[in-house]
Amino acid sequence: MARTKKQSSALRRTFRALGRGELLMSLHLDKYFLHIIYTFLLAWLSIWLSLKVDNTLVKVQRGKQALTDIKIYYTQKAVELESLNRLSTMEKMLEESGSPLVLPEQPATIIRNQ
Amino acid sequence: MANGRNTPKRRNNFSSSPDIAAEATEAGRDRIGIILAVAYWVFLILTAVILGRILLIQFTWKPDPTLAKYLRPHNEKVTLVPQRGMILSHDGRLLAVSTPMYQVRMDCTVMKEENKIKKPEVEQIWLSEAEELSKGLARIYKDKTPEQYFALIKEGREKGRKYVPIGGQIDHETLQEVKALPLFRRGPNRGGIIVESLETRQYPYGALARRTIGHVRNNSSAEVARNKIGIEGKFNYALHGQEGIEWMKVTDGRRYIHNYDSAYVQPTDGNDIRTTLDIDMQDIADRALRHQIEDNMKIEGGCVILMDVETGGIRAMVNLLRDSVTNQLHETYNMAVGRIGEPGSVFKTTTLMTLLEDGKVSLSTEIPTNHGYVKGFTTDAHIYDYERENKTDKISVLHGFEISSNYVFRKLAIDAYGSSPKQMIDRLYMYKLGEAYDFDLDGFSTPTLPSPESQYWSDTDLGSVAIGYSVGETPLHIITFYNAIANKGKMMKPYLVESIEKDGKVVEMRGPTVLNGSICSRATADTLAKALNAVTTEGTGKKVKGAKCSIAGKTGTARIVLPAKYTRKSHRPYEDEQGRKQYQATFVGFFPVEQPRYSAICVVYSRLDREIFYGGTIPALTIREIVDNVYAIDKENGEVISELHSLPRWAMDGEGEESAKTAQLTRKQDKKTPTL
Repeated sequence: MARTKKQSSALRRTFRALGRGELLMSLHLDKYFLHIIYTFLLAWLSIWLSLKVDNTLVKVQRGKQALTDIKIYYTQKAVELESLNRLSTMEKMLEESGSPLVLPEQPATIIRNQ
Repeated sequence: MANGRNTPKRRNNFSSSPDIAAEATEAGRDRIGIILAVAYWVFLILTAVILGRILLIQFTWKPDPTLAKYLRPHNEKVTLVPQRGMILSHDGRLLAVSTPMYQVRMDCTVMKEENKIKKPEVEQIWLSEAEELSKGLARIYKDKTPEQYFALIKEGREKGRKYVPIGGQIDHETLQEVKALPLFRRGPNRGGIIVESLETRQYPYGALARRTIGHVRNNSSAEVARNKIGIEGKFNYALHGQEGIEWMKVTDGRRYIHNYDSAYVQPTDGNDIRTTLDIDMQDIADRALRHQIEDNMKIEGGCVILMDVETGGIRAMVNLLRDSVTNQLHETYNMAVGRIGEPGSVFKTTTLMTLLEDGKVSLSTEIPTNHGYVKGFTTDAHIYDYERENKTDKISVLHGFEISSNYVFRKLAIDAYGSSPKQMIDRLYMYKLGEAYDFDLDGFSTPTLPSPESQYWSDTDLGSVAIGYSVGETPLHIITFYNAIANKGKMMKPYLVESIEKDGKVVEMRGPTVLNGSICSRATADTLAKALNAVTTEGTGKKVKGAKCSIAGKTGTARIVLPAKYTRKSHRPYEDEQGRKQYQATFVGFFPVEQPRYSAICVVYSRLDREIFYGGTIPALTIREIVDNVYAIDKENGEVISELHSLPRWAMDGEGEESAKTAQLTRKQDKKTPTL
């Protein structure tokens, strides 16, 4: 009975301290004030770093995409150039441009050093 | 903290001035204290509420399952598609490469609701931008007018369409232009642009060797079973690569990033395939065949193979088949490896080789003409004419070969092997004309040779086989045989894939393989080369005479066995009721005769017609055109000029005397250069 009364009194004191904003003081946690601040700082730092990492990864992802785009661009240009390399295409282009150049009638002569 | 308990007692009006100041300070503190107390209580209550909500959500709240997936942290498994390997020509030119193409779609309802809430002018601005977009789309795609595009977008907006296709597939460069257009430049959420990336295979040389290069519909394994065509299909295992896995998470800014906390499997790109194809020769062969058959509607199609004599590497493989609807020639079926037919007179060379090898005849051996008659067969009109023109009753084997006499070869075969036909048939198996050996393309047909031990063997079979009937061969089998003659009896296995490479380094060298080290003696090969040369100079292959380099070869004209629906009334396997026939005309040979570098075959298939198509006409002319052009572009055939003194060069730093010397050049014919 006495114990219950004691508990009820402690609870009342706790709520009173909470109401007055003195809970931490009443628990004598003021001596850990710096630690509490430090904990909050760490939590904030963790969140901030996480966001920074996310931002960096977004940039990495953008970089990857840019690299892929360049590769695609390069491949498509290579394909375009290669298609111009066809004998009959070259002949047609030369003909259209009015060039007298045509396919060789005879194989190329080779000059060999002795 | 200030509170009611610490409120100072009220002072009377007679207090001194310092007391008044202290009182005012105390009052200020009270006010701040009250504000702080209120703020503290507000935060305290809020904390209590938040804690309460957290506990409530944690233990009692059950969200709607459809909503729950949006509330959970989004983590998506992405399959990383490997880059499919390239297909290269023998000199490293690009024949097939993978690159994405893009299909643009439009969400026409974008910003519609937002604009409704705002003023109607905003919607009007959106529409005017859509009009500008339509002009740009019409300019880029050129498939619709600006008005048609605008009508499409406007109708889509009215009817709430969110996935309207815009034009056809475009490349990356064009996509950047489309993305820069008004409205679309605002992005997917405000501009409505939806871009779909479609992995496609690009063939820079268009239709050239398309059937040989082949295709796989896409780079997934499931599709391969249904679309295993050409080198793409056969070497899909090497080209495809290995898929990877990546987990992606969404950031607070709704961006996808790689999730480093999850597993990551890097994709392995496919290997490249270096083929034996020479795209210039392929172009020459393709053009030559088109030139000969394109305008002749009586021709169903044709094929050409150009092979390197020494290695058996295929430099060009053309397959042109006429579309029955459009009458255009397309690479739709690989006749060179898949179409079996009676080869006709080009098969006589096998008979001659067997006879020469067994010492039964020589080219000068003479046999009686007998008016071209062999028991059981129709009379050979060539012999009848020969007798009349030359007033003789004897014909040499060489002349019989030159004029491609059926009588001569039937008689020779029956006289030499009539009692033991198996001996001759076994030889054909030795020449690899009875099997579909391992080849770099699927669909290589197995030839058919009759068996003397079979119940279906008849008395006329030997005589028919001797002239290229009652047997079925693909063009690739025939050219492989002729290539062996050009290679002095050494039969090389035809192949298309030189090596499998990774980043320019050879992973697997496939290279040349010997199919039969010696199908005949060197002397027999030389004799046959001489006989084949006689065919092109004096015989049925005269059309190739006068080419830029000497060609040895044989013509063949064979009727094609018609499907039963055509022969039901005629009761003849080669003729329909109207007397029309189909022909398979062939020219096969090698060049230059003195030191063969390439062997070539051209087979042309006619449509049902009364006209006869001879191997000495279209196929021979095709080969001649190919030889003329290939000879001219091959620097190995060029004349070699040897330098006796230094060539004139610009004088530099007082070296004038030496450079001023007149260069004298003597021309020396390289030993390798064939005599023209």
